[in-house]
Amino acid sequence: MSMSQPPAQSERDSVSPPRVFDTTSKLVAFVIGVLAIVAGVGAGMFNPFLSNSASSQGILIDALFSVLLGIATSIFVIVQGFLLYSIVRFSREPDDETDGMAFRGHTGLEIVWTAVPAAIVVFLAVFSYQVLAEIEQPRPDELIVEVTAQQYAWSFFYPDLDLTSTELHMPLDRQVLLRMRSKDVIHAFWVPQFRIKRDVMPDRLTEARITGTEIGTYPIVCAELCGVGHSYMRSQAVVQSAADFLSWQQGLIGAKTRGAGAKPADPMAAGRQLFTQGGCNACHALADAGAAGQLGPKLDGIGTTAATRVLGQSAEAYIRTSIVKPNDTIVPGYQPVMPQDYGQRLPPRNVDTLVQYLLGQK
Amino acid sequence: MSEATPAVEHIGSEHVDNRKLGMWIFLASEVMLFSSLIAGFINMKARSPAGASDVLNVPLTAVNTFILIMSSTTVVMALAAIQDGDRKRLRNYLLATLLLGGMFFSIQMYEYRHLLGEGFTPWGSLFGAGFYTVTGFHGLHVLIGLGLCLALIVQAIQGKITAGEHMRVEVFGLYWHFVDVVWIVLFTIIYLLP
Amino acid sequence: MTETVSGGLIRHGGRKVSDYLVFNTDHKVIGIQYLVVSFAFFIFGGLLAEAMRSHLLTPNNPILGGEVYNEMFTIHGTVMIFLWIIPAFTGLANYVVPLMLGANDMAFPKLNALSFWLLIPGAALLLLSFFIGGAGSGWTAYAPLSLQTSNGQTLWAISLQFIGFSTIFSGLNFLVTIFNMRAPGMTLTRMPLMAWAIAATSIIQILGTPVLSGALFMLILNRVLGTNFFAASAGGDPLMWQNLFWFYSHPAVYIMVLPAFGIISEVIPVFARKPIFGYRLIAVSSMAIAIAGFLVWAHHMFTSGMDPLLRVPFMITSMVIAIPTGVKIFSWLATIWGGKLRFTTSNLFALAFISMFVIGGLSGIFLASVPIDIHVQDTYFVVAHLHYVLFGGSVMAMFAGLYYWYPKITGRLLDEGWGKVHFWMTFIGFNITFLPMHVLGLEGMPRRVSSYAPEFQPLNIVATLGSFLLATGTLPFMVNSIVSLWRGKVAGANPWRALGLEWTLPSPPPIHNFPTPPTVDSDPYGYGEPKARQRLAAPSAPGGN
Repeated sequence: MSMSQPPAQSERDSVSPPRVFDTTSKLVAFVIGVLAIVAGVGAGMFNPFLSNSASSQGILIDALFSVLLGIATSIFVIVQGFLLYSIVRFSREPDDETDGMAFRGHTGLEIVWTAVPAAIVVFLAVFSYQVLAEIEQPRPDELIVEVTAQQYAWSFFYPDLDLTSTELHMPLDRQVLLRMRSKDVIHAFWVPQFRIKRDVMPDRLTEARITGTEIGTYPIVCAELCGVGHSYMRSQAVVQSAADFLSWQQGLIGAKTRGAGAKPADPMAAGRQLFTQGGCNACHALADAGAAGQLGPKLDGIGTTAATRVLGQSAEAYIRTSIVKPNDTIVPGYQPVMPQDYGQRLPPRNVDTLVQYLLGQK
Repeated sequence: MSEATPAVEHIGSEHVDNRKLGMWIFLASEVMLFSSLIAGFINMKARSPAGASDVLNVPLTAVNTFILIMSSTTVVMALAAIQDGDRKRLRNYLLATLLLGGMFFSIQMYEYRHLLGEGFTPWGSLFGAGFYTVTGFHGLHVLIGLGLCLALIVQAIQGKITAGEHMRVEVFGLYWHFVDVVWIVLFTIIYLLP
Repeated sequence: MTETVSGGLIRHGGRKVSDYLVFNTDHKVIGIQYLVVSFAFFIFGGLLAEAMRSHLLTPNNPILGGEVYNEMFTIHGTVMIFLWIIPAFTGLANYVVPLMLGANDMAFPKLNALSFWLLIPGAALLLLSFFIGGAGSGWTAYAPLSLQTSNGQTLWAISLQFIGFSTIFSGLNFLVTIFNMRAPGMTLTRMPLMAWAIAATSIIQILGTPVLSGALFMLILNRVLGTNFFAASAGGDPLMWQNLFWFYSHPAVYIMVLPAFGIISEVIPVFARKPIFGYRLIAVSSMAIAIAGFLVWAHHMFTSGMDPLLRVPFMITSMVIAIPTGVKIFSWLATIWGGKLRFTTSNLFALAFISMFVIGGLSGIFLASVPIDIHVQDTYFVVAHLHYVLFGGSVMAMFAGLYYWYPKITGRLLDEGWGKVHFWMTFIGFNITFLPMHVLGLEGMPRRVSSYAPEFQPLNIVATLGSFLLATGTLPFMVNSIVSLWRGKVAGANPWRALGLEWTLPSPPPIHNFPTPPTVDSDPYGYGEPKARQRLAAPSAPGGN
């Protein structure tokens, strides 16, 4: 690609003198370049986005993001800088109907702006690959959790502990290996603070590895459109100290084995806890449990209204049926989307506790 | 005036007739359509138990493949005929193409009926889903080709195709050869490969 | 002959309004038919967007239930892609490309008309699917969800088949026209860059769309006949839907943006009064993008559970495709540099395109990096990215092209004052709407949700307010484009003093375009060169800045 012949002298006089390469332009180009570097480094170092991550994977991903943010900011400043400067400096003088300089190309420049992006791309690809390998690295002593996703709830089974929960509990600084499967459509497991997301498929196992590095409770969000309840398909990931993790385990074991034993000390508190832990709050609103779910019928006052729902069915029977065979009666205006297998998933004692709890909501 | 005048064609140095170029491009899109369906078939077969294809009649289909290949030969002969200006041979070879193509289609229909009778259905198995979909689309393309062939025969009889203007025969030939080639690929993948 | 009437619709030859309502094979009529119909769908898709944005003002809004909301974003996406941007570019190209090539029509005028009329049943079926409900699996229709949804989903799939055939035939028509029907002397390297862009677009349409068609047939048969291609419960393969779908739908985004690149390459030189910088590299990069675009599709599937090793080559190809795109941006900047910029509305939109598309392109690099994508996939970060490239990019370029070629099509200029109102409301409203969405995605808001965590409300309110400004900004354009038909300043043949062949014809052109085939001895970008100076010797007609 060669530069076109510049117009002959006599013709050049009738065109206004070229301002393309004068000192001011060169200075401005230099300033834009410096600004780009400063802005880029600044953006990379003081990245205001991404609140503190809570996983070892997140730390690496955030670092990669910061670097990329810096590079993108530099490029942004260069492009917008030249654009704005051109708009200001190369605006047509009023009444100037002549053309600009017939400058068609410059091989050197074209090589530079092909080669430099190519080099940046190589760097980013290599860096990204390294981060990818690191964040998916298996560790010895991983805690395996089998995740089941269904429309519209999450369930977590710990095979080594033989425990099921509706929340993901993780001991601090210990890598968790999630083995995930869906019962129906594609869902996606995502904890923004962990920066880890993986689709959950119905026909194969998918895996994700997370090491929680900050104690806290973080939302689990479904990130693949899965139907009418997609927005409400939530749970929590709880990163705990080893001691707290142990007591949580024991609490679950206790709840499981309480079986046909004494009634819980405070049935309302136990019921409320089950309501939240079991994920009922994802779809139902119940002020007593601080629940604001929208997908299913509101349960405030259900203790009273249950008796009036189905002719001949007692309040208790109605509530019990609604939990274990939800499609027997669909409240008008709502969709038949409640999971059908709570009867199998929940120990009978827990169903009883829930029924009593809800009967108490007058 | 409601119709634009015919577009002026400008002679370039390597100029391919609009209609022929158009058909080549159309066939490129058809290649992609069949690639999509063949990918579906291959995937379904991979997820099927071994021996899923035992129900198919390979010898009969091999003969049928030969019949379709013959029909491509008759199209070549038809084109050669009209290039020589022989309208009668053009008509006869087109008729032969129609006949052979019709035989292919009928034998395929017979095979479908037999398979369905044996309980091999599109909804009954993944292999069935893939098989009927990809061969069904091919059959549809054969049917369309037979319709085009019939139209050409009528035009040949009416004297609308001459030594000077016979691009439509060449373009039809391209389409028909494509249908033939797709079948050879399908026959190989579905019937011959394990 | 052109009748120039000082205060009325300017008609050429014997064209009647009814010509535009029937099967007419004139590429200019078809172009206008495409433009009018697609713009109507732009409004429809925009109204759906406004409904959603209003709903999202509060985090737990009960107004739009889950199913309705899902159907709204499904139809919004489908309409904007298949009934607005793709046919709109097709219409504009239909009108101007034969003129730019010096041809008297497209290669296959009847097929051209058929391509337009195939949109009508497609559009009707799509609207029907919305009203009977059920197409609620996103425009991406992932299985098995799209097997579960009710009857509207099947209608949705069938409608896309009609629209798909329309685009395949249209692409075929453009390729043959561009190959075979250029004016004598117009070698490929003297061809307008718009033609290069449309040729590249056409290649994608021809090779990509049939793959979607195959996938849609399999989806329809799965739903209707029980052929369990994608039904996991019967052993089918949901991931295969994603692979087949994205094999088309990624190249499809280049169908949506390459014509925009073409328009920008036409508009910028005219309003900078300089030749396009780096013609050959721009032409080559369009083709490179078309081809490379077929090699990146799995970057939409990085979190899908696809083979972990395969993510790496797709990451590389997805980053590499930024290079030819960057080349274009820098070339356009170099075209502007040292020019004599005239800030017509068309030019404002073109400059805004460069500014906004760069942002969209940069966010695309983030998405190409697998570890970052693992966090931002399926979030509002993606929604931000796609709207920056499709609205900030394609739609801005579309407006640049409409303001530029409106005088050629109608014989009158759009009012520049209202044009600037349109521009500023659009530019500001657009950025207020979509810039915050980058942050929403990074901070944890997934996409396709009708309710969200309360901490995201402030930015959602900002985005919604921006969208109100954006939507209102479209009104000046709508009124302007209709009123100017009667009251706009008469444009004459060449109001912009541009060098393309289309500007040598009267505005509007005669029905049969060129009375004698023009001969060409250079590309149409020679601003500042002696030949161009001669050709443009006549003083410019009033109009513009």
